[in-house]
Amino acid sequence: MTRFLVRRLIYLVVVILIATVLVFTLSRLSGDPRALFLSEYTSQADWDAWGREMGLDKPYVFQYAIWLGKAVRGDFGVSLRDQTPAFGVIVSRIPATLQLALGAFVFALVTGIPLGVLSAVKRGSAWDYIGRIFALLGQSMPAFWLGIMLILVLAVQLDWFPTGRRGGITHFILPSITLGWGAAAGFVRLIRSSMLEILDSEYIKFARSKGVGGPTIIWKHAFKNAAIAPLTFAGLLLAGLITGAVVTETVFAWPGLGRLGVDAVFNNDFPIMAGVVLIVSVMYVGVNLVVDVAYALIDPRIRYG
Amino acid sequence: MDNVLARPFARGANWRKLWTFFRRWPVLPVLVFAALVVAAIFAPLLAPSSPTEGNLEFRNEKPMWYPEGSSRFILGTDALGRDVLSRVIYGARISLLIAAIVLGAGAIGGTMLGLVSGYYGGQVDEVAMRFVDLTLAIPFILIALVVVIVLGQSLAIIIALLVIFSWNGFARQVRGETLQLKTMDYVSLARVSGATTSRILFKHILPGVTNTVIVVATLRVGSLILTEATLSFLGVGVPPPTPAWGLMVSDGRQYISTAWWITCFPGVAIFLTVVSMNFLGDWLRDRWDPRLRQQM
Amino acid sequence: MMPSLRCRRLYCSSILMLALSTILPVILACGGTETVEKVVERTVVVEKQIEKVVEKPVAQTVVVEKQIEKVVEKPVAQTVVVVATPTPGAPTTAPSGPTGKVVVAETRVIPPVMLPSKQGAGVEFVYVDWGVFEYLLRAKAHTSKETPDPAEAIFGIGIGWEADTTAETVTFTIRKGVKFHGDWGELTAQDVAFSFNEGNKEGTRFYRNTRDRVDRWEVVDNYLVRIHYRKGQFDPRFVEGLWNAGGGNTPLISKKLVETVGEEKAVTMMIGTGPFISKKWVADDEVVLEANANYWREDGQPQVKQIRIVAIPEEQAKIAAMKTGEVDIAAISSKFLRETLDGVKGSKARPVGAAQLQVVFWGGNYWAKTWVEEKKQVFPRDGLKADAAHPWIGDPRDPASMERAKKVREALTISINSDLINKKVLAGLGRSAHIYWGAVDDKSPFFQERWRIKYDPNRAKQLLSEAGVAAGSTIPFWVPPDNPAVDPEVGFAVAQMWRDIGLKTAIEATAYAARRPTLVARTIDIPWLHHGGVGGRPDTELMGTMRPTAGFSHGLEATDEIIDLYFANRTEPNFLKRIENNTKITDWILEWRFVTPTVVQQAHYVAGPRVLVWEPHSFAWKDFLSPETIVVR
Repeated sequence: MTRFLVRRLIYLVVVILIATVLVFTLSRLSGDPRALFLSEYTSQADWDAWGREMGLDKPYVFQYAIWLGKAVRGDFGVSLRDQTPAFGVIVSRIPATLQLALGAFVFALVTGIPLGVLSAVKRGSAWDYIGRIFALLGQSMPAFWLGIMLILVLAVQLDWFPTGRRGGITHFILPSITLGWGAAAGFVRLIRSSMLEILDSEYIKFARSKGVGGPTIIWKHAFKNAAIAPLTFAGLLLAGLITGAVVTETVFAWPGLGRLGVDAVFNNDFPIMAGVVLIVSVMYVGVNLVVDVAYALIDPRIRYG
Repeated sequence: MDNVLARPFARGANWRKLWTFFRRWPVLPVLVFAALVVAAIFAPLLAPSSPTEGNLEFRNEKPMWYPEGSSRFILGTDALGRDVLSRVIYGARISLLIAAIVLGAGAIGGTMLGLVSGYYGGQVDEVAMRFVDLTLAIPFILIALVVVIVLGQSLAIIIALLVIFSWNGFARQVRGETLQLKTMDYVSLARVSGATTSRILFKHILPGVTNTVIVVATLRVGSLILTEATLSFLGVGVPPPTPAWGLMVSDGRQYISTAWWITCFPGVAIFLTVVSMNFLGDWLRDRWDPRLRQQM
Repeated sequence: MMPSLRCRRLYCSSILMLALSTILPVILACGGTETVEKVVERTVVVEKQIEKVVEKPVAQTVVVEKQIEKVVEKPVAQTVVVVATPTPGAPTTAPSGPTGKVVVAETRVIPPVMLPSKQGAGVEFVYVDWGVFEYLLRAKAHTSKETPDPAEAIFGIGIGWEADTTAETVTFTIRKGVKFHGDWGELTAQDVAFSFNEGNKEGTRFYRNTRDRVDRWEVVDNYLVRIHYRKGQFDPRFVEGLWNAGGGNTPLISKKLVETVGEEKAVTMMIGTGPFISKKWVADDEVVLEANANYWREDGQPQVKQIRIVAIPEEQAKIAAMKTGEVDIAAISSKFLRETLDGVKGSKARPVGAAQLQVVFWGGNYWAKTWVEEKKQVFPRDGLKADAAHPWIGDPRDPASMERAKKVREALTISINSDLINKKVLAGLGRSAHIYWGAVDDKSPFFQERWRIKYDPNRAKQLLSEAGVAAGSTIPFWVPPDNPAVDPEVGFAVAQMWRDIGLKTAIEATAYAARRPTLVARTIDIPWLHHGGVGGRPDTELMGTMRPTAGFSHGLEATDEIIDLYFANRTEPNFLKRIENNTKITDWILEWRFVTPTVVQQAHYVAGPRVLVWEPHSFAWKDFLSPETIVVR
């Protein structure tokens, strides 16, 4: 087990290194950072002074090493836009992002799993079609379109919800639906196919023949077995929600990491950019680590060793 | 026998036959897909106007069935006066082109990785899979943004990025398949009789994974089009004025309450494409290898 | 700098003329007994009434008399004294305290960065516009159509000034009784000097720092502060430089605060002197402002208790929020104005801020030879690629290339139907533009008919073939999607019109910040769409961004002769001469089609039914402003 954890941690470090090198190189390639904020009244002396201050006169590798050395101590540098430590800026956005990701995740679970189960159990019936249409919609509607439609219909026409921004419970229902529908679609399909498979399997037929009847079969045996694949999916999903929320955050004016990252890219604000990539990668690998450990604990047969 | 046929619901027998036929074979999805391909190939013949030419005078014109509409613009025009119908038809070209190239190239790369990884196992497997996993850990959107900003916005760059990030889906599945196939008797036989590794991989294992690859490809078409739409929303997708459905839906969202047809029709096209591809993929999977259900 | 006698006489006579032209009509207009009474009252009660009624003529007479005396007696030093004596920070005469709350939606909420030296984004004017900070000078009212007379800029924190053109200084008198928010005490000359010096210090990022013109600000005493210009850099229009954003103008901050808590902590503390106090400021989220009970300006007392400014980036979401009443005030683009006004019952639209010119800059035309300040030769630049792939770029070393490129730019200019763009994309709420000289529109007395651009696509095609550009050639065109002052649809429409004359346009939609380095490095070589200021005074210097510096440029550089005109206007005291210089520049721009203006778009804000009164005043950037004038139901 320890070996397993250690290997995963090494992997985490590798991911971070590669991701940040990528971002660093691309950021430097996209142009001289000084060019972003020095005006038409800049003198040559100013320009040079700023170059020295930002360490631009040293080779790339040095610049990266310096950044990395500071980053591991939690110093991502000072955000070019906010003029405050980037670490603080990023961290302040995490709660909003987590809230939205969890909201979407809950929506996906609450709608996806029951529909998936019903769809599989009542194969061919109306429920099956409802489930499949639900999944199809989730996979074919762009998030920004869905978000705007929800706002127009549910918030403006019917006045059931506010049109956006972070606030109380009502504020985060529409964004959760927007972000979560795609994920819900995934759940429906996965659960459905897993359950179909298991229901058809010999194991269940055997159990049935022994007289264990009806709902007991479905919930106790089939579901537990079918839940394994979706569990992995859930891990991937949660991490994916964090990075994929940009569109939802923009449409609903939600102050999360996605928007922060995108804005940082557009402003070539390297400290924030690199910081977001780093944090998101850590979250992703972290979540997967937790899922894998849970997996390994639940099912002793599965060991990656 | 005749008595059976003379029974009351004999007339319904034909309908039931038809119904069974439709349920067994993916007729509709194939028809929709065929329609898309036809639209893509014969776009210049089918489209009433050019997709990139427009006149500001006809900005946001209503579709034909409105009193103010005209038969010149059957589905109305967009913000620059371009015919929506023509753009949707030409959009089939772009969307299918992107899908074909990305999934084709992604399939090749991902399959390679999966084959090698699954067959050799051990260190190679570790490294290859970790590499492929990187593409999941690193936030695609951010990297795509930065790359486009640095290298400029072009169709080629978007496609290259999408290909790299699509390897993962293929590699994982193919690896799983390979792991199972390599334990098969005919593979051991080939190995024992001195066949080279590449021969084994290409002649014996590859055919076995082809089905998986095709299924994965069809199921990913939808997410590909949506990714293109998201990139367009952020301003780094297909460069305008190329008529791509995702870009059209994204641009038209400003006019959703006043000129709904600009977003609606490309959106319907996306929906139909995704539906038909998904149904097709599901059907293929069910038919070829029900075991695949578990993993996908 | 010793002004010649002729110069001084010209100066004096222009002041005299100005004074006479203001007094005469007033005197002529005064007809009845009532007005006679008024005149009497005026001279007696000057001091009290200045706050309430603009006593233009009175102030002027004082100046004129004193001035003439001084000039005759002391030919050596020339001083112009403008002093008004208003009542010091009187308590508010508002009937009741501020009531109600207002919610405003803006596209962005920028982070709180109080220290001017750290403000590199170039959008720091929101801190003043939103009512938290203030500038040094202030005129009674600025509207988007009317620019006040600089001599009237005595209603702010600076209540008077004394300029010494010989010593190249201006000494400002500071109003007493202006308090900072919280317990940070009264604003004094120390704070003023500190604020400006902070923005001008070594290593500053301040977007509009004036380090090339201003040496330092000096504290003379508690209520007198002096600006020292560098040798030969005296700015005759220093007043306009200090009453709105731009030109090195800094919001006034507290020296005591920065020295007490240290720079790092002070950066995010938004403590100013304005009518509203910042209670919460979170970037990309919201800003919560509360009325300042101790605000000094009698006629600017806040009328609402709380203002929330929220960031809503998506325009449809903004409109939706206005429809549900969640938001009371929002900027809406011209194309959605009708839809919003129809959808929100009882709402009204107001034009706010200066209109923005949408102009095509022909990147790659780097014709300047000398970098004046550094005395360096900079020609030829990397971006000067006058080849077949860049037909809009002319190389000054090759007259044939210059002629060809001129024809191409001309063709691409006259193929733009700006009236149609205005009608369709701006819903007719803007206007078509003909010249880059933003302060002058076609109704201005300084406009010349020869400058009018005539739409002529056929001639455009002809010019293209004369220039040897084959049909079907591609013109790249960068249209930044994230510049709030530029409507990308205008760019798309322009690109479409170029297609109509047989060319292919390849639109590049890169973010502005991503492309800015190529502007600074003078490597950009494609045409691009940007904004230009409209309004302001017509005698401002032009072409500052089209000259060699180490910083920002518009992607092209004018010839040394034209740049000389720019420098001339920076220090030229004579108004008419400056107009003449700008006319020369405009003629040159038009002859060479150096830049191509298309349309002017006016920003509008829509206020919902809860807003009873709101009088946004500004001729600068479009932005939520004048919060103190809002009265809600």
